[in-house]
Amino acid sequence: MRRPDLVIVMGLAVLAGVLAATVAGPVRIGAGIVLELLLTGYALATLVLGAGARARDGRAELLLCTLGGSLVVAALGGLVLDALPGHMDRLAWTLLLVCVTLAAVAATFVRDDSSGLAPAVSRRRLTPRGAVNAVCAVLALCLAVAAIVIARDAADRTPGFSQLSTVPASKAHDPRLIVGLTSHEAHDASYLLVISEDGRPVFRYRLRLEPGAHWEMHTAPVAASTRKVMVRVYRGGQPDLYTSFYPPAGVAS
Amino acid sequence: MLRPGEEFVVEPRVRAPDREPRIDDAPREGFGLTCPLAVAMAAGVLSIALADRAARVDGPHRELLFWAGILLVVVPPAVRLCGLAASRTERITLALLTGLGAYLAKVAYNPTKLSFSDEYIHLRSIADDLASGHLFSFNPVLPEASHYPGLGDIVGGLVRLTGVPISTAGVLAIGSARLVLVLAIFMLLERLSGSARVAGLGCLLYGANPNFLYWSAQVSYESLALPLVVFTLYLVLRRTQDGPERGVAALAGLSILAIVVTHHLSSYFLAIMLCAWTATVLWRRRVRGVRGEYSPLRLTLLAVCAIGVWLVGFAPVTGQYLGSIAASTGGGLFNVITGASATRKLFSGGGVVAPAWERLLGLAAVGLTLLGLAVATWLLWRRRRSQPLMLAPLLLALCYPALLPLRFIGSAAETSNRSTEFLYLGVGSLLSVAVFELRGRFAGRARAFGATVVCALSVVVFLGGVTVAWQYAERLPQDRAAAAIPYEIGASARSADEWTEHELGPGHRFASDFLDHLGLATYGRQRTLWAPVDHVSAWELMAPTRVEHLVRRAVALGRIEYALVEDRLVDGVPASGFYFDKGEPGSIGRTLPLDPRALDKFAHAPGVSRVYDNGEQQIYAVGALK
Repeated sequence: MRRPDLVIVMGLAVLAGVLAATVAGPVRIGAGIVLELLLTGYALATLVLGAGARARDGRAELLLCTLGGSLVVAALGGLVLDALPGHMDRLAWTLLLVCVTLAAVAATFVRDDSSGLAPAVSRRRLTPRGAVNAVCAVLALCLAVAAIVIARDAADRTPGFSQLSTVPASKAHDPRLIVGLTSHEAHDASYLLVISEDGRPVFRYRLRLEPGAHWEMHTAPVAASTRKVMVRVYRGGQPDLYTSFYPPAGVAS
Repeated sequence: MLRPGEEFVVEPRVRAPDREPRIDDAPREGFGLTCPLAVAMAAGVLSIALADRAARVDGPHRELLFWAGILLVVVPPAVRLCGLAASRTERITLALLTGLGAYLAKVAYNPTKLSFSDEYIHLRSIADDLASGHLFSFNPVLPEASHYPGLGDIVGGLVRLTGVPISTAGVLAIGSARLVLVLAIFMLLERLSGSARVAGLGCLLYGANPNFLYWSAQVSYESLALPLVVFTLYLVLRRTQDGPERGVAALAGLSILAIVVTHHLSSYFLAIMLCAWTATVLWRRRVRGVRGEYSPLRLTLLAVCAIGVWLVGFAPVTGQYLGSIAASTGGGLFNVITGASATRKLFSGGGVVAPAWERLLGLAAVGLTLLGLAVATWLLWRRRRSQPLMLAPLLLALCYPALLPLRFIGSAAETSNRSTEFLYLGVGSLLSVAVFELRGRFAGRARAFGATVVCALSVVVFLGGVTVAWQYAERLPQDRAAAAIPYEIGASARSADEWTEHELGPGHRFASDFLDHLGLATYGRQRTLWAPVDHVSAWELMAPTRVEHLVRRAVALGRIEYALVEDRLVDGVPASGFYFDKGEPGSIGRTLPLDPRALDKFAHAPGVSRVYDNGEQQIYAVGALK
């Protein structure tokens, strides 16, 4: 078969395009990465470099042009999609990259008539040294993955906190307020919420929130004569958070 | 067609004036010790990750773990790259692994979230492009960034195709660019020198530039564009040496266009290199009568025209942006010369000074580099000045000492620092070629001893680069439980930013400190103040200790609706010196933290509602102050 690598690239491009455009999860991730960062560049590199790309010395060059070519196609591809009518969505990107790959492969087939012999495949037996290298490569990969997992877990571990907010119920001069309380603590947390108007407590409420839980309430309409509304949250008897609100009329008066 | 590693042959039609006969005598194939060394290097990355974890929980031995990791990433490949026995394949693989190891050290800083300030700029642009389905949305963090959508195209494409978050897609894209950078430097140097050893050592020495560890590894347009610049130069060199190949020239042309739409300074750098290349070839043709040399005139014209069209038609704000940097650099230089401001203290920031041994290592690296450049310049001028392609690295390398004094100037230090990743293309090339010029003078044990010395000096230069790679105080991630001024956007700040988008809606005009303005613009998609456009600095609103006229004027002028106050600003001095905006008064040489009254003033201001509080961040509706 002539240029089996290019036949494989064509097949992979179509398959990756279908998967990237239709499925979800790790398969989609793998397909998308291969399509954007490898296949387009490989097709372009074989077109540009010709048969020399498959020689042993040319493998590094092929890798360079594959990676570099992929970045170039993606960087310019976005501009092309932006200039076309419609949005730069998943389908548009998939079609663009698959088309570029197939076009480059087709151009290589057309051009590459004399050098189109299949590359010689050297059959190697697994030597003890080769086995050691394989084990080392797997070990190195495992260590690198472990490093990233450790770093990710450490980065995601943060001190707990709670957040309190008080905003007008709407922009249409609704005299009510929306009070929200969210727990980002590591454990269940108990709160005492006190709302006061001009220093007078008008509402008290005890609540308990699980980690990640959000609680929200609409206050009673704030009287036009009220100058300032305060919302305080106590934890363990100590004031912890507070928000304040000045009704527009109160400010005016 | 000539390929690296083959005997030098002058083809009838195409001269290859800069190819030297091969000086390598090592085997060409086989991975050699690559795989066992990869285990050591991966253990180094693991050690760095453990250092990062220790830093986040105020654990012990973080510095020890960090430096052990760096040593494991650098020393094993350095030994083989400087030695005589490794094959070409092994050298390429080790160079790639060194680049990848240094990249993973940055990724381990925070694998799931972007951490460095420039990354937030592009996060905002990419998020806007994804939301709107179109490019060129206004970016309030750095408006000119949205006019260079190359990075956003690649990352946005990955996000759409794979569904991964922007930060993950960015790490993948820049990781790919890092491989391109190292491989392109290797191939370029191999073609220039005819030696895989020179190429491998050149990659190692390029990695000694202070930006290799963190700056060039962040998800930023320069991190993508510079690898494409080296890739393009490689393609042009290939075209020069291997004769007319339209495909290679076409790919170089596409790469030039990709660079132009990705990063301004990188495209200017490439254009200068191509202009110098073309001018040298034309001069040799006319004055020396040299015939048959390829001149990259068409590619040079393409680069210049594309830059011009893009600058005028799509990114006219670039001139203002770069002009402000030049003015800041020039102003700082003038102030230091006239004695109006003091020189910058090296190796310090945020009131923290790096340990003495690190300072010594950093200075030793610079000293060794300068000494090496002096020797290399002398050697190459004597032996290779007739080769036009060696003149470019020579001139580039000589710019390095010229820009070093700027490091003593507060407002110009960044210019000097950011130039190193470009200038080290020359420094690395020059030093590695010079090493192998010298090597030819020795034989037997002396040569082996020389290789050991070169290895030791290369490691010192690399480690010295790490010491100045980042502010010492911020080189490792932050322990969020410690009472210190934040330099990473933590979970609580991110939650506040996201709350603004959900509850207030995007696009409100916000003022805040510098770090939170990045978070508000990206996670909250708010319209934060940008002094050059809004003509008002967040400093004018946030720094005064009372709600006075200046504050009301800033609110009115900037049409500011909300102010986000970060409680922990009073816990220290930022390493950059500024709390709110670059160039704010007192930012150079600041030693005292912010007055707490500056942060409390809105809590007592009549009419200013406090709409949000999470204990660390508070958001005030300050529109009533107009």
